[in-house]
Amino acid sequence: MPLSPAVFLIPLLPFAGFAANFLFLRRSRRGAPLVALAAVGLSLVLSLWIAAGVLASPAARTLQTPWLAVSGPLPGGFAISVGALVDPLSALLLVVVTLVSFLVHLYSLGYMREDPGLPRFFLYLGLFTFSMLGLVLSPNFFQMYIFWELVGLCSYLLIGFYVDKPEANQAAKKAFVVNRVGDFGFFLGIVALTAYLGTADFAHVPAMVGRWPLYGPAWLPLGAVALLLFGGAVGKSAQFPLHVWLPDAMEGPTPVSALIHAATMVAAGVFLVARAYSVFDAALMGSVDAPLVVAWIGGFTSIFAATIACTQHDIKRVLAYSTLSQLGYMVLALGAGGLGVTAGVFHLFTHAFFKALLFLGAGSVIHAVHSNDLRAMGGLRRRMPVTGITFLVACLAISAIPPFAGFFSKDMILDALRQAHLTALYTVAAGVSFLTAFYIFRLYFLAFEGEPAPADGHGGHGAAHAHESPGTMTAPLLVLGLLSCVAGFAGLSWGGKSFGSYIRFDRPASLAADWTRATALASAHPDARGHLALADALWAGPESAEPAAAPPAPEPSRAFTLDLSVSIPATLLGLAGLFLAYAVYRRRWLPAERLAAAFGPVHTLVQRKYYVYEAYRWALDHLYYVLSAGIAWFDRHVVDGFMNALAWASQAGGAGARRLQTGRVQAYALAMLAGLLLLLASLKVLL
Amino acid sequence: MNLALPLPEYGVLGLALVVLLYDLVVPERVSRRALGWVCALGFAGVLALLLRSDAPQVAPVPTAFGGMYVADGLALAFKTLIVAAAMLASLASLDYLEARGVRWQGEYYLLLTLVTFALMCLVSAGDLLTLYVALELNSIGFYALVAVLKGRSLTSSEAGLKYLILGALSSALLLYGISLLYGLSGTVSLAGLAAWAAGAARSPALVVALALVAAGLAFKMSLVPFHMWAPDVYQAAPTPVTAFLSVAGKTAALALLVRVLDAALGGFIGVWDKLLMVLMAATFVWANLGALKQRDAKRLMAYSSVAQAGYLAIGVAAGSALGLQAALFYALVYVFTNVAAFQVLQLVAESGGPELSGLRGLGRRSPGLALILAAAVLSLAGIPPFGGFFGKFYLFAAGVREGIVAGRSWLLALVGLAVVMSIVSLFYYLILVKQMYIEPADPEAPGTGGPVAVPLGARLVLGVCAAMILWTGLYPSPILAWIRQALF
Repeated sequence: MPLSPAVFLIPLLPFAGFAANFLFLRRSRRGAPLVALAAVGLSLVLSLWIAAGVLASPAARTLQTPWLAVSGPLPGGFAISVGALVDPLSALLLVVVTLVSFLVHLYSLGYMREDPGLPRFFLYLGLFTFSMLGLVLSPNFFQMYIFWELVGLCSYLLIGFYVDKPEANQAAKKAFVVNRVGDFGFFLGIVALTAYLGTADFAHVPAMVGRWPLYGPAWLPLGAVALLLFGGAVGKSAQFPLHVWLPDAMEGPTPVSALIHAATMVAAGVFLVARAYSVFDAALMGSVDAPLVVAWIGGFTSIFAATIACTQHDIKRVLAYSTLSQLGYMVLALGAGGLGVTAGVFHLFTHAFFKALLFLGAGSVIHAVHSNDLRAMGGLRRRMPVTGITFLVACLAISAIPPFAGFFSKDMILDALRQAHLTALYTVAAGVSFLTAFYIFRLYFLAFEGEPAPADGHGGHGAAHAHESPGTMTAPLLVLGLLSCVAGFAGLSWGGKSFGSYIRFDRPASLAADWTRATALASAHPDARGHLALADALWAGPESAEPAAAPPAPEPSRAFTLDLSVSIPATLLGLAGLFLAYAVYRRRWLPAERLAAAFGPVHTLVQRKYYVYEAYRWALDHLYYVLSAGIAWFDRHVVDGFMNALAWASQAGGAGARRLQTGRVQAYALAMLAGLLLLLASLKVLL
Repeated sequence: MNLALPLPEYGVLGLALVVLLYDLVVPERVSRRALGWVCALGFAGVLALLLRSDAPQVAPVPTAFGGMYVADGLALAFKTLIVAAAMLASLASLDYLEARGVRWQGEYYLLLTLVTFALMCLVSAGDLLTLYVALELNSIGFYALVAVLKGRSLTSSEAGLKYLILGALSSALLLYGISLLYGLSGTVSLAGLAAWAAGAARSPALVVALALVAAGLAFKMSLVPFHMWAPDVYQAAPTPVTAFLSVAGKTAALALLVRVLDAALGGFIGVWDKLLMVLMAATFVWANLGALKQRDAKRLMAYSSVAQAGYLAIGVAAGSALGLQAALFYALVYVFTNVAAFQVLQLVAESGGPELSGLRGLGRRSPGLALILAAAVLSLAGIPPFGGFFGKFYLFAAGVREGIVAGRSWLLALVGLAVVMSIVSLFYYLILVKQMYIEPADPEAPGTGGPVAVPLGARLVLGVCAAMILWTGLYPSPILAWIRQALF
C-alpha cells in the first residue's frame, strides 16, 4: 500500500493554523486559540488514521522529493530531499505528539485565559507542533536537522514567553546556547555520514554503515560518528553534561513545560538515537563502543538528576529533574541495544503521558495557588479532587507500581539491561527506581496531603483558598490519567502482536559480512579509504560476489514478559521509596530537616545541583572570556580596521565613480574605446 | 526545411500584426490602453506554448533556414524568460502610459512586440549574420522605446539619443570583429566556427577579433567600461521599458555570450576567458562602488543591474555545464526580481518622486509593496530564503568547482572578488530597506499620506514576481530540473 500524500497534511495543518494566526489573528483572543486547536485536532485524527495503517502493514514507506541540489565539492552532486517516512516509530511519535499537543492546546485555553499574550502563545504552539511533526516524519538526516533547529527555536521562544521577566529571557538564551553545543556535534556527524557514505536517507544508511571501514577515512572510526550524532541527543534530551538548560526552561508557561520540555521535544534525542540506531549498532564492530558510552551517560544522568530532584522546593523544578532522570533512563535502555531499543522507546511512549499529566497537574495547582513553591501548598487533594486523583495516578505510574503504565516500560528496561549483562548499570537503574518513588511522593505528600500552608509563608494566595480548575483544564488531566493507567498494556502480547513487534531494531543480516569485506578491501587498497567514488568502484568490483546472507537468527520475542526475579525487587524498591516519603513528609516520623542534617554537606551539594552550572560559569569567566577578550581586541582593531578601511575606500571610490559619469556622450564613447584598448593591453600581458 | 519550427516567433509576429491593425482600425480618440491587455494575453499564449514544448534531447538539434535558425534547448529556455519578461512589461505599461497621456501607445506596443521578436531570433541565431541583424533590430526598437516619452520628458529623448549613438559605436566594433572572424575562418555559421576553432592557431588578428567581439557583446551585457550608457538610459527611460531592457535585454545578451563564446569559440576559451574576466573584475568593483552614492532609485538600480551582469558572466567564464545551468537559473531569478523592484519603484515614484527619499515610510503606508521591494533587493543581494541566494550559490559553486577542477586560479580569484563585492552591494540594497522601514517620513513631502495606489496590471506583475522570488528560493529543484533538461 503506497503512502498517501495526505500524510503531509499532518504537519501542514498546524502550520496553516500558525500562518493564519500570524497573518490575520495576531490580536484575536478568541479566534487564534480555536484555529490552532482545530488544526491540531485534525492532525490528531489523521495521525490515528496513519497509525492504523501502520498497524496493519508495518513496512516502512517513504514519500520524498529532491528539494535542494548541491553540486560542488561532492562528486556527482547530491540532493537534499524533503518528504515523509512512515514506519512504526514515526507513526507512534505522530500519535504521541498530536495527542499531547491537542490536550495541551485545550488545557491552555483555561490556563492562559487571563494572559495578555494569549494569541502569541497559540501562535508559537502551532509553530512548535508543525516543527515537531516535521521532525518525526523526516526521511533523512538533513530534514531532521532543519526541524531539529526549528523545535529548538520554538523552545527558545516559549521559554522566553514572559518577555518582561529577566529570568525567562536568561533561561531562553541558556537553552538555545547549550543546545547549539550538542547540535554542532550532530551536524558534524551528519556531514561525516553524508560525505563518506554518500547518503543521508534513513532508508539507505542501515545498508551502508557496514561498509564504513572502506568508505570512511582511517582517522574517523564509525563509533566517533555515532557519538557526534549522539551529541545532538545529549543537548536536546538534556543529558549530562548538557543538562543545565532544562531545569531553567521551567521559566516558560507550564503547558509548554508539559508539551515541549517533558513529553515531546526533549524526547527527540531518544528518537534520534532510535532512528539512527544502525550507526550505533555497527559501531560495535569497530574500535569505539558507542552504545556503551550512550548507556553510561544515560545511567549517570538518570541517578544524578534523581538525587537532585529529592531536594528541590519548586514543584516544576522537581518535575524537571525527574524528566532529566527519566530521559536518562530511556537513553540508558537504548545503549543496551537489542530489547533495550524497544524498551527505551516504550518508556518514551508511557512517560509522555504520565509526565505531561504531572506537569499539567502542577500547572493546575499553580493556577490555583499562584505559587511554585511546595512549601506554600498542602492539603490540595480535598480542594482540587480531579487534579489530586489524576496526579496520584501519574505518581504511581512514574514510580512503576503495577499495573500503571510506568511499570511495564521500566520493567522492560531492567530486563534489557540484564539481558545485555550490564550489571553495574542494572544496579544504578534499580537505585533510580527507589529515588523516583521517593521524590515524586515527597512532592505528592507536600502538595496534596497534610494541612494547607498559611497564606503568607512562601508567596501565593494560600492553599486554603484554592479551587478546582475549569473543565478545559481538568478534561486533559482525565484523558492523560486514563492513558497513564492503560498505556503500559501495549507492551503485552495481543494476538501475537505487541509493542515490540513493531518498534524494534534488528541488526541487518549482512552487517558482519559487509564489515569483514570492507576491512579486507581497505587493507588491500588503503588509498581508496574515504574517497566515495573509489570506494564505490572497489565495492562494485569483480570480486563482489555477495556472500550468501546468513540465515536470520530466530527472532527473540520483544513482548513484555513478566520475570518475577526482575519485577518483584523493582516493585519493592518503588514501594520502599513511597513508604519513606510517606514516613518523612506525611507522618513526619522522621522530619525532613533532620534527614537533611544527617546528610550534612552532601545535602547541600545535591541541593545546589552539584555546582555543575557554577563550574561552567567559572570556566566561562576565567577561560572562555579571557580567550574572547583577546579575540575581541583582534576583532576591534584588526578586523574592524580592515572593514572600516574597506568602507572608506568604497565610499571614496563611489564618489569618484560618480564624478566620472559626466553625462556627456563623447566621454562615454571615449571610455568604451579606452576599454577596448584595455582589453588588448591585458591580452598582451596575460597571454 | 522545417518551416513550422519557429512557431513561437510566428506567434509574436502575429501579435505584432494584431497590434498594428488595432492601431489602424480603431479611431484615434479611443485609448490604446486595451492593447496592453492584448499584448499580455498574446505573450501569455506564446509563453504557454514555450513551456509546453520539450527541448530536443539528442544531437543534431533541429534547424531551419539553412542553419540560420537553431531551435535547441538553450534557445527555448532563454525565449521562455524573454517572453515572460515581455508579458510582465505589457502589464506594467498599461496604466503607466495611460497616466502620462502618451500619444504613441499603439507604436509603443508594436515596438514592444517587435523587440521581443528580435530578441527571440537573437537567441535562436545559428550564424553571425542572423545574430547581427537580430541585434540591430532589437536595439533600434529599444532606442525608440527609451525615447517614447518624447515631448513630455527631455531626459527621455536625451537618453534615447545617447543610447543610439553609443549603440551604433558598439555595433561597429562587433561588426568589425565579426568580419575579422569571417576573414580568418571563412564561415559565419556558429557551428562552422566551432569546428574551425577546435583546430585553429592563435594569431594576433584572432586576438583583435576576439577583443572586438567581446567589446560589442559587453556593451549589450553592460559590462564595465562599456556600461556608461546604462545609468543614464535606465534613469530616464519609462520605468516599464527600463525593467524590460534590464531583464530581457540582458538575458538575451547572456544567451549571446554563451552562443558565441562558449559554443562557437569554445576552442579559444584560454583567450577570451581572460578578456571576460578583466571586464568582470572591472564590473564588480566599479558598478558596486558606483551604486553606493546614488540618490535616484532607478539610477541605483541601474548600477545594481550592471553588477548583476557581472555575476551572470561568471557562469559563462566557467564554461562548464554547471556554469551554464547556474547562469540560466540566475537569469531566471533576476528577471522576476528586477521586474518586481522596478514595478514597486515605479508605483512609489508616481506619488513620492524618483528620489530614494520618496520611499520613506513605505513600510507603514503600503506594507505589501514594501515587503515585495525588500524581498526583491535582498534576493538581488543573495540573502535566503529568496531565489537570489541559490542563484549566487550555484554560480559561485560552479566557478569554484571549475577553478579547482581545471586549475584556473584566476577564476577562483574572480569568484573571491565577486563574494567581497556582494557584501559591498548589500550596503546599497539595505539603503532601500532602511528608507522604507527606518527613516521617518517627512510629513511635508508630497504623497507621503495614504497607501500607494496599485492598479490591476501592477498587481498581477507583483503577484507573479513575488511568487517566483519565493518559489526559486524555497523549492528550486523543479526549476533546476527544467534547466538541466533544456541544456541537456
